[in-house]
Amino acid sequence: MMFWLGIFLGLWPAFAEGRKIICLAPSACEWTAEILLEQNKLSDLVATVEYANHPDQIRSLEKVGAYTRLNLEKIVTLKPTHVVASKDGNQPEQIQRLTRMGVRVHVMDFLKIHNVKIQAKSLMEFLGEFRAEKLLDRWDHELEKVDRAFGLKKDSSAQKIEAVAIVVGCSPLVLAGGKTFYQEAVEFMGFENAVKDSAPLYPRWSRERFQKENPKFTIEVLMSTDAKPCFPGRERNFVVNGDDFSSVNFRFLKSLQSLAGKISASEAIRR
Amino acid sequence: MRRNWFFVFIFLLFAGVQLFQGVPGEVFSGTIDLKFLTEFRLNRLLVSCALGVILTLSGIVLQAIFSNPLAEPYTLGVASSSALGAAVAAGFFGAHSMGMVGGALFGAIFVTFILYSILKNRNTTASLALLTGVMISHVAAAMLTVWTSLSSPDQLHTVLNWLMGDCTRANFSQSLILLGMAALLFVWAFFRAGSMDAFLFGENWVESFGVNKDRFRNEAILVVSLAIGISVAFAGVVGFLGLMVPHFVRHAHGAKHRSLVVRSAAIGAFILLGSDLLSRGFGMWNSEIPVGAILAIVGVPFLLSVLWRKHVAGGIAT
Repeated sequence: MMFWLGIFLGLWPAFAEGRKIICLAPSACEWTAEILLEQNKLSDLVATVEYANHPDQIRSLEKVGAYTRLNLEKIVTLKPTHVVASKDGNQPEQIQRLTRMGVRVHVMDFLKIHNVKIQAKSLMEFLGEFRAEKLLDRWDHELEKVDRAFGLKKDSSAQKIEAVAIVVGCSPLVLAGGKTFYQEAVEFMGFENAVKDSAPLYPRWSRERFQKENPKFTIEVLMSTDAKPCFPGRERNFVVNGDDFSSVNFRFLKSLQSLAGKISASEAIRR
Repeated sequence: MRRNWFFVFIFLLFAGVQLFQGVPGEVFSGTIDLKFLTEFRLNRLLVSCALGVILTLSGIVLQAIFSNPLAEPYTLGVASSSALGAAVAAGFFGAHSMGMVGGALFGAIFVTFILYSILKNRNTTASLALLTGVMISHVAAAMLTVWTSLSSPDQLHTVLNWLMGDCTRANFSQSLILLGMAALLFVWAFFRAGSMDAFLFGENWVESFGVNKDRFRNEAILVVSLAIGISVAFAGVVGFLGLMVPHFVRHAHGAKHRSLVVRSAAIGAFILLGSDLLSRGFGMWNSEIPVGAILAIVGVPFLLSVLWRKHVAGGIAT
């Protein structure tokens, strides 16, 4: 009896410590949290990075730096069993250093909408959460809704593809170019990005040039809650919350659905 | 003498804190995580000290050959063109590659060569070379802005972080290379201190001290551009140290180069070590602040206040 009790007490710390997950970019944190929430295991997530605010439950977790500038020492000191990083957010050399220190790191690439399911599946495998498949079904369902919302526009191949400018900054006027994450959203909506061929990722336009080019649609991405729209009185100007429109996740799909609704309503009024 | 020992004590204390503060395990019982120690702490200790030595000694050497107290890698455009070279190379060959080191070296040597060509021309003056350096610095900074605006987001993050100066980027072998370069620059500057003293009497008198001016300048430019190129490639751009520390030491201990080289190297290494300690907030901050920013915000006002006090107290000699 004492023998078994001794073994139990000896092994207990290993069981008690369990899984410790750290995520290193807001997009990676959101997906990790979604998967863990699905299984009621969110407490396994022990640390995140600054700006990782979704879902609300992860706001209060310990922070290991900003996603572009991680505090590697802190990550190693927390002794995580799993670390989830993002290809577009984290610096490759920082991830390499963590791997060199013996930390298990899984790098996600959530930039492409159609890549998300594969990436989410690989994350589930990494975390050992094979029963979180319901999440993928939910993703398919939400994606279908977006497709339906913009479907009419995309199906009519004869219809002229309208130019859209994604405005990410007002003063100076900054647009999202064709090599940014927003390009896929533009294509998904069936528009053409007015600056898709721009060499700079985020080209700056003068107001004069904007008026001259006059893209038919503008989508303004407001990066903070107190930011004001650049073109409040402009026709076909739609405002989205930058927090929902910054990486491919469920909030992004909801935001696209709501945007589709606003665009349809505006066009209906015009007709 | 007592002051020197106090300095050595503080230096060792800082180095000890940098190495062992917050390391997993027990320092005194010897159960510390050695991998953690070498991968994170020893690396940055070596890099910060080597970088401090390289930047201050480069400042001293450039001030001597340009006969101008404002000369240093930052003001002469050597650091910014080196940064441009490294950023362009990072775009083509990827960050953290040998290409980046090559780009940084090319940028540093290219600008130093231009400045040297100006200096070599007997119809020009050191002031013209200095002015050209300042202009090159602006052009390089502008080109760097253009380059970063064309970069992909991951390259942009890498380049921006590296431009702010960072003692944690280099791996162990790179930190040893940096240390070797600092040692080479120190030994060269120490044994060529007499030649640098000759420049104090004005360029025209240098040869009357038995110093081959052209040969000395060739050597100086080769060693300094090599050191700056390597330091920029491995630790990013850190400014002001080469300007401030030599001035500070000159006012405190005189302008003789042998003493200036030894004291400046020690103080430069100490200041950068202290700045790096602050940049990681003694392990208490979630995110580290770039060492270049800490140096400018804390180090420069401190050194300026010392210089101003000395200036007001008893005249200034450059």
